[in-house]
Amino acid sequence: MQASDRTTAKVGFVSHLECLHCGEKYPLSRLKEEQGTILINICYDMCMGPLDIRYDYDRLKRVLSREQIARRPDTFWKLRELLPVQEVKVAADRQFTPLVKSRAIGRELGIELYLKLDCDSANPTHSFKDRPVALAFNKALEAGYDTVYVASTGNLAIASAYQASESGIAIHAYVPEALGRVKKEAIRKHLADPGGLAELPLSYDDCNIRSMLDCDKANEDAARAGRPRSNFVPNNSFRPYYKEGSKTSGFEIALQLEKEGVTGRFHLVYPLGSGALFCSAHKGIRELQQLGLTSLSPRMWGVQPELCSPIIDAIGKDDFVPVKNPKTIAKSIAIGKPGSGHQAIAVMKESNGGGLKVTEKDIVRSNIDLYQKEGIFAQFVGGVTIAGIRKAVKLGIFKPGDVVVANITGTGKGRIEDDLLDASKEFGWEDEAKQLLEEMSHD
Amino acid sequence: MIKVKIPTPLRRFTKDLAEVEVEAADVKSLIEALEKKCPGIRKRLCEDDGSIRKFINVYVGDEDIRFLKGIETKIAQGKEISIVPSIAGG
Repeated sequence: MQASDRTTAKVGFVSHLECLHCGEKYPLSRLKEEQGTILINICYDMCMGPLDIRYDYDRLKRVLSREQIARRPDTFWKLRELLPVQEVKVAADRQFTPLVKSRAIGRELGIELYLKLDCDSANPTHSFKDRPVALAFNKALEAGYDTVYVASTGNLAIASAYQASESGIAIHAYVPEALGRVKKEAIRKHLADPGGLAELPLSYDDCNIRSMLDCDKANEDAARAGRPRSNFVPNNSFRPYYKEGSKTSGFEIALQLEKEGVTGRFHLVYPLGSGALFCSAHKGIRELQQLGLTSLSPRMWGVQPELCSPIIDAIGKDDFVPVKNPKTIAKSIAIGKPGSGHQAIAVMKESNGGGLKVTEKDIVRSNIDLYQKEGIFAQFVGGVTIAGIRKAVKLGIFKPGDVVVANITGTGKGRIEDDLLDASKEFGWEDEAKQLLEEMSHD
Repeated sequence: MIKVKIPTPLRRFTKDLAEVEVEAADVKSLIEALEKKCPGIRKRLCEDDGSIRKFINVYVGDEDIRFLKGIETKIAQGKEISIVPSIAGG
């Protein structure tokens, strides 16, 4: 066993970690004793499946009430008892991101459409990645870690670089060299050492493996020198904790929708990359239900581009067929081996939702729509969500008057231009690309 | 000899070694050889029917065996094998 880190076996209301595949339970004391840390990601004693954090819900029921929560300010930490941190050391000042009623697209489709905007006005780095990264860096500081390794299609590295600079943590970011200029610059902006960004001739999935192996090696070198581990990969080394940050998306949507007077069933639509945000948001709302803190009950719908749809294609099957070098314009979800894919399919089934696939042209058209009709510069992953909703309405899955929440998980004009110029050449959509850029340049 | 990289949580079976060396011609025989050297590790890597668990990635060099021939994938001498839990990303 490597030397212990500074984590302790008592964290707020956390009771244990549980394997999502085989159900094996790991109390924090067992993790600390067997692995030297509670920051563990897999079911190491049984099936190697993903672990998930569980809380003492009976105790929480006695502690939390609707009235008490309503009195708290609308911050990221509003339901702190349901987040696995000892003490909030960084990202303490984050606010709720906006939930806005769609002005035009909802009316056009005949549905009550709300847009949840993880966006440039509310997120420090303009995407939902600020949520899990806030959790991961708080855990890293708690454990005494000082160096982060991160592979990314852009948003995660930007969020990590920002949070690393705020936290005094050194960073090694790995991105595919094909990544757009604007995203690379957004990463560099937060680097103390320009050498912290490695542009590799690899796909995202292979960058990911490289980051994990390099992090492992750094921890081994530390162990050989008699030092405790101090290196981590935010979305891997302690993924169960990282994912909990994304529950806040579900918390916020439930609390904001209730303020709008919505109750009961509604459709909640996310784009799917690894599937982690989708699962965590659902878990957040389920926890609120379980504690009697909301009457809302989401049907969870995941959307993927046809060019990269390993999760949707695996529905009803036993395993995934990974996508090698996925090419979609929605680069932030170009993930061929989805880390939370099995769980995402289970969530669709449990919530009576499902999956939808959309074409690249529909993604681009939906982005043009989002800009022209709603005034939102979504990253193309937002177009994936809207294209999925259009398809669900067309297929009669979403009925007139249904309440639908569309997650726009990242924004930023520059980031759109970058991906658009790149992809329009590859797919032969120069006309659409020109139309969108012209529209944008008029403002 | 073939070098196999072991992920941190499985080093309980390798006496804390990050790398283990075994003789093997393909992934199937590699797992058998690993089990002989590190008893208990096979159960964590494989289902009862011998297939690799869905949460485990095995790389021969830089290639995921899912893109090759699965457990029948041949291993050339000198190739490095990496065992990587598949729960990362995104």
